[in-house]
Formats: sequence, structure tokens, C-alpha cells
Amino acid sequence: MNAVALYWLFLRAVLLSFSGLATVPILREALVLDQGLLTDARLNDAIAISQASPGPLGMYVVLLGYFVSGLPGALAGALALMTPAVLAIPIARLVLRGQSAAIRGACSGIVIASCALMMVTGLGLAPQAAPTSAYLAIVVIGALIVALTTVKPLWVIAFAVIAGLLLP
Amino acid sequence: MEPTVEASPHATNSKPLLAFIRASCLHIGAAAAAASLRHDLVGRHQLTAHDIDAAYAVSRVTPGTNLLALYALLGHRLGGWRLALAAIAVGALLPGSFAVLIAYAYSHSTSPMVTAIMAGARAGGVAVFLGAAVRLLKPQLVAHRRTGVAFAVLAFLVVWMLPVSLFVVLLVSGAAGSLWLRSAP
Repeated sequence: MNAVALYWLFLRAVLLSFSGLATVPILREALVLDQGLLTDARLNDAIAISQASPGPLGMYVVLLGYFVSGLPGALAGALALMTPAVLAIPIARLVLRGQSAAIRGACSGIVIASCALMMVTGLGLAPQAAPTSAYLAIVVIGALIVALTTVKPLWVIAFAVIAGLLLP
Repeated sequence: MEPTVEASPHATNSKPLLAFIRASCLHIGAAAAAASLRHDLVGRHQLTAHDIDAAYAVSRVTPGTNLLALYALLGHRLGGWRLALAAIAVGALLPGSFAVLIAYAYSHSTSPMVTAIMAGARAGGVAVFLGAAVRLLKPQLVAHRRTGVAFAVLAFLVVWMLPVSLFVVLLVSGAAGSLWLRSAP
């Protein structure tokens, strides 16, 4: 897939998300399940690396581009992340004028559906990331910590990395 | 004071851009980067805490990466479109370069230790992903209760059981939300 096609795919996914990782279901569907350009292992690598490096969690899109098409793909990912941010300025004007009820409702609908999609995708990614019961325990404990506490995701990744080094 | 997104004609671009660079390079995750920006820009009296909070709230309802939307709003407030575009570029390209360097090093490594580290990191990544879904969902369910639960369950079942495009699911959810989820979260 060339960089322009990647940019268009990434942009469509990013425009329909309101959180860094909410794009994962759509991009997994397109790049892993439909076109076979990536494996679940590579997708998991991208998510893990983005969570251990500076910047927003959505930066994993840049890594997906890199894994698919090298540096042009990474640039396509970065541009796809940058494009919707420009919309923030006109959206702010709409929101501050009080014409936001329908926008808020649409956002809520997309966010709720995104969460359901993320659950389904997470269950699909788990077998690759947790090949043994020990790794499955890391996934379950880590997910509970992130969901129920204010512990930063970085600490969960750090804990998982240490566990990975200790496990046989 | 009503929050505004209009550009400030008196702001200079170089020092605010340094704040964006610092936030992008030294902090992991949007919350930490936003806190760094707040500390820098409010501490130097370039913006008020209220300006930052208003921009943060708007960035949450902007499609895409919330942190880059925040950069755009604050950059525009401080230096117009020029600084807004510079801040977005800094926010995406600098961390993206770091991430690509790490991915390159990982891809070309044959060390068993790196393999073990990545095996753990993958499990942690999926854990964070699943936990983030719950974190994201909780405030919506608090705000919309039964309708929100119905939306979530319906979307889960549709995606789980039917061969339907996820784009279609999101578009339909947005249209339905604009009709039935109008109360503020």
C-alpha cells in the first residue's frame, strides 16, 4: 500500500475517533484482517512502543505506517494525525457559540461505540499478546489497574516489561 | 470571562513554541503533556488557567488526537494560524520520530532480552488498551445511563456477531447519538 492510500486510510480512522487508541479497531480491520499487510504481533508492537515513548498514545498510527511502508508510511501516519487537529479551531467557535448539542450527542455516540469496538478488538488481540496463562494474568491485572485506578499506563507497561524479563 | 479561540496579536512565537516542544519530547501521554503546557504557559503569564481549561474541554470533542487539538487551540490563541500549525507539527513529528527510532532499533535487534521486553510490553499494551476502553466508557455511561448502556451493548453485539464495516458502525452511532444523546456528559 502506498503512502497516499495509507494517509487516506489513517485519516478516515482518525476522523471517526475521539481518543488515541479508538482507531485500533478500524485499522486492525483494514491492515490486518482485510489486507494482511500487518500481523496482530506487529500491531501489538506498535501499541506497546507508542505507550513507552513521548507524545500522545495515538502516535502508534505513525508506527503502523512505518511497519507497512517505511518512512513514507510513518510520514503518512503523522500527517493523518495532524490534519484533524486543524478542525479544532472552527469546532471551538461552534462549541463556544452554544450550537453544540447535536455535536456533543454525535461525539458521545461515537465514543460509546468506539469503546465497544475497542473491547471486541482487545479480545481479538489478546491471544497473540498473551500466549501463556502468565501473560494472560498480566493482561487482566493491567487492564483492571488502568480501568479502575488513576495509575498511568506507562507504569503498567513498565510492570509488564519487568514481568516479561522474569518469565521463562 | 468567556473563553476565546481568537489569536492574540501581541504574542511572540518562539517561546510558546518551546513550551510545545518541551511538552512533546519530555512527557508520555496526553495528560502529562497538557499539564506541562499548562505549567509553562500559565507560569509565564502567556495564558490564563481558564484559557487552558476551555481549550482542553473543546479538544475533547474534536475528532482525532485530543492533544494535537489542544496544541492547535493554544497555538492559535497565542500566535494565530502560524503558531497553531507549528505546534501541531511539533506535537506529531517529534514524538513520531522518537517512536520510529525505537521501532527501528527493535526491528533490527536479535537480542533475546529485547524479545523478552517486547513480549511483556505487548501484554501490557493490550492491558492498557482494554483498560482505556473502560476508562473512556465510564463517564459516558454516567452521563447517559440506560441509553448509553444500550448503545454500548448494541455496538458490541453488532461488531461481535455481524460482518459489518466498523466505519458504518461509527457513522451510524454518531448520527444516532446526535438524536438521542444530546444531554451534556
